Amino acid sequence: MLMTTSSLEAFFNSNYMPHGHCYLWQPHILWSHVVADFVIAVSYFSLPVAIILFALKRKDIGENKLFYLFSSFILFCGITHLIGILTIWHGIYGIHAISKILTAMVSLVTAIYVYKLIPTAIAIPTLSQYKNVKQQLFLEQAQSNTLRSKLDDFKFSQFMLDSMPVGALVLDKNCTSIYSNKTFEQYFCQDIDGVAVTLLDALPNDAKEQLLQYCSTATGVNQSAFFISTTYQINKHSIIPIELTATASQFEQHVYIVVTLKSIEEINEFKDKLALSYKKLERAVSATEDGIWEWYVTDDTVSYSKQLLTLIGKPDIEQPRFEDWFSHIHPDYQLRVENAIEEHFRTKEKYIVEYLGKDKQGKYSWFISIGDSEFDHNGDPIVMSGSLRNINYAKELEKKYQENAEFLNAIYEGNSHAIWVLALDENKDYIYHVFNDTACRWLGTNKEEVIGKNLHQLTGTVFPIEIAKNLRHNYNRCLLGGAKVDYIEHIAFGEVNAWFNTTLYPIYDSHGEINFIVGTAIDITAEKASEQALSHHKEVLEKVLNSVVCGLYIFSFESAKNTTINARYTEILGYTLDELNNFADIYSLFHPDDISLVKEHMSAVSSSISGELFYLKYRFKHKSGHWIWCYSADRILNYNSKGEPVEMLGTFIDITDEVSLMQQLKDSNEYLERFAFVASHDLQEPLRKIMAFSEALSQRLSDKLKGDEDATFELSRLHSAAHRMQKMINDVLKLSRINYFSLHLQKTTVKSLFDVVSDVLSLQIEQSAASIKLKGELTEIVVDVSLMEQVLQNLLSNALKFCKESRKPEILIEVKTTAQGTTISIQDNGIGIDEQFCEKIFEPFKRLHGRQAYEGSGIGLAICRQAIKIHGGKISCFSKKGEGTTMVIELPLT
Amino acid sequence: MSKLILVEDDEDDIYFFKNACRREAVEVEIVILNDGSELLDYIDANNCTSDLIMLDLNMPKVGGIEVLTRLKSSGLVYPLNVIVYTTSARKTDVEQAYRLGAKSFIQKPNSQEQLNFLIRSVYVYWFEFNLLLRKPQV
Repeated sequence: MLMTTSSLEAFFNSNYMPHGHCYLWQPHILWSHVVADFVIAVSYFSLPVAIILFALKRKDIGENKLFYLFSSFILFCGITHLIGILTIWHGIYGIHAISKILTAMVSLVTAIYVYKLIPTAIAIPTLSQYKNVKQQLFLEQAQSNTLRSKLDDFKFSQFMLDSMPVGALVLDKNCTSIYSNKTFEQYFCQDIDGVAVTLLDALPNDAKEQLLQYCSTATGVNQSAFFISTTYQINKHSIIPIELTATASQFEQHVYIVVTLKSIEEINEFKDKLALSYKKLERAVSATEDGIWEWYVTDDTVSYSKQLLTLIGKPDIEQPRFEDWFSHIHPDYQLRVENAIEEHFRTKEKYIVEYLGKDKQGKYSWFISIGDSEFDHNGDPIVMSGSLRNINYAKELEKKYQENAEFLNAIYEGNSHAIWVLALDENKDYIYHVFNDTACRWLGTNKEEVIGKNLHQLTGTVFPIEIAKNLRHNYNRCLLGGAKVDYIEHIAFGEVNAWFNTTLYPIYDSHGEINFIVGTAIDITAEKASEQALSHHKEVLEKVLNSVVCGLYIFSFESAKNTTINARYTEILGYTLDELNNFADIYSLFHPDDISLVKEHMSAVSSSISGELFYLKYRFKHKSGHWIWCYSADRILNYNSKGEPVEMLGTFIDITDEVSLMQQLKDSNEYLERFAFVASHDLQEPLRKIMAFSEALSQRLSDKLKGDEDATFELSRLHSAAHRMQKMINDVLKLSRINYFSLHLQKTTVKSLFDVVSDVLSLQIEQSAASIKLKGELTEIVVDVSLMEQVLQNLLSNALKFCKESRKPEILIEVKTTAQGTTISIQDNGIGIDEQFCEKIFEPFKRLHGRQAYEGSGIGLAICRQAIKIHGGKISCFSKKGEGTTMVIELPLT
Repeated sequence: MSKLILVEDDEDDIYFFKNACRREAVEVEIVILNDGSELLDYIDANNCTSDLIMLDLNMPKVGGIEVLTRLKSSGLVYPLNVIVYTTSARKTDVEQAYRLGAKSFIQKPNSQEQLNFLIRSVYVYWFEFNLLLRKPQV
């Protein structure tokens, strides 16, 4: 190949003939070269590494340039040999040349440098020289170490002294300060007016003298230390409390006194603070209602606060024991408390227990005890502490709350109250928030339909429009009025028809606005009905009272006035209630003669205890001034709680006419009686004379009349006529005296009447040999005894008189009690009468028989009828001619 | 003493009375007064305590009841021996007479004969028998 030889490209061209050609590619030569060159290169490359390692280890030789030069020079030699290998196969002689040039340059520089170093190399000492020097150095080193150690000790002592929190001084026997530590200088040695304070200046005189004394007498052998607690003037303004200790001791035959000063200001402050905090604690403990306790479990002692002992009612115990507390627990709760303590020790969780225990009044109250313990490393309790509180109040409150809740619940669930709560929605409409079952039942709806709905929604669905309108009206009254509203409403729609007494209560929120309305209602339909019935009754009663025939008044004892009178009262007496009450004294209206009677009557009425009726007749002044006779029935209407009468109810009728009629009757009766008496008395008078003179005459003329039968007969007729007349007059007299006013009723029996009568008639009974039987004669009757005797005598005498000659009279007197009263019948077996005369025989002077046949005035039965009549009874005759007669007396019930 | 005083307004009765006294031979002074007022005057004027007074009730001016009433109120009636002697024996009159201090009450008999008996027994009882009893005291 051809190439340009003069160019740079040629220089680096590798197309030169490889060096192997020179060896003729003879492997033995070729490979000898290659191997040798390679070994040389490797060896050369290792040398700089060794040099660098040496230089690094021997820093004292330093970064000598010579090392770098040798290293580079050997490295380049190695590279040149490697390139020499490459040239065997590649003709890179340019590059080979460059490496040789570089090697040469570095070799040259190295050589020059070595020569320059020769004098220095000669100056390096020998090894023996070095060994001597080393020996000497070692000795000096040891000495220096000893000194340095002592210095360190001293510095440490100094450090110790300085860092002690006490001021330390060393004094000689004259109390002159030889040494003082940093604390003293900094703290105890401040300037006063620019002059440093000395120890003695700062101490108060007594302390100073004691210290001087101690110092001057100090021997330093077996001497006790001097201690004083005093003050120290630390600067111009402040004196602090200190503790000063002086200790004398010998040092190298000299006596030194070591003084330490300790400020106890902080300690005092701390003490004060401690005391303060203790007091705070004390106060807290004593101020709290809670009792505070500690139980040292290990030795079973306790510490109880005063309050605790007061709480459990044992304030006087000086040295309380665990038992003192435990025994205040109610026996039923002791186990609970024990278990709680055990549980606490086991679980190490806070101890809390409620129990019933005796309180300070010795009554059982609820207590709560809370506590916790410290435990040792085994988990056993060391000390347990805590508090005790009487929670009876809380318990009571809780109980009350519970009760209240129950009450409310009971009310809510009760059947007797409808309860609902209205809330207000954003449109100010009423939403049914609560609506109980009773409300649902009463309004015929259910909760689902109502609750949560507003009134608008319910209008026309649950509540008819008119009803809803009324409800809203009432709710508005409560809402706008802001106060409780009570009203009675009638709700009627569908099946609902009831009266309610409703109350609405507004409930205010914290802003003072009504947020709820609570409504309650009770069903008063029944009351309403009875109220209506009552008012109806009242109306009826009023009508009745005003239309009765009696006057009526209700008299109040308290006001001593009438509170009510009826219309009839006014009709009878003329007064209206107001007019009547205008009289200050109602008694002024009674007739003066009746007042004492009226007062007696009033006291009888007012002292009655069960409202019995009392009757009275009296005169009352009519409004127009005349007297009205009144007949009153009075009773107490009601009594107060003390049993005193409150009101009197009286009814009366006007008996003025009756009284005047009665008076007239009485007057006329009296007049008649008087007339009858006078008539019969005056009539008897001449009659008696007729009888007496006729008798006297017949005696006087008895001799002369002996032969004159006619004259004797005429005289005897005169005589018997006078006798009959006298009997008639007597009977008329008797009849006239039988009247109501003379009636005197008594209890008796027919037997006792009969005994008297049979005595009177004994002769007649004997003569007629009559047998008289009695039946029911012991029945009690109430009659005028003398009148009834007369009646019985008349009837019996008739029965005996009108007997048949052919048979003996048999008479049966029978007494019977009937529903209407008592019947007395007198039955005979006499001659009897014609039935048609049964009524007529009771008329006066009515005779059915000739005077000659049967004696009698003809007035006996009239007397009987009159006597029975005034008893209110009746006498009848039942007879059959020839068989006998039965006279029947009927007496009414009395 | 021992006067029989009849207070009677009826002349017939006085006649019968005198007849009876005479017939029965009453040995005693008879004084006839015709009215109650006369009796009261007589009592005022005489000591009548030992006399027997037969007093009619029914008299025109002062009746027997009134006489007794006055005597009782003046306290004189008890020492006096008064027998009421009258026609009717009304129950009320009898009671009243005894209440007012009469010693006895006698209804006038209807015949002279009966009257004679009456006067006899009155005389025997009031004068002879009583005198016997009183004698020791006199």
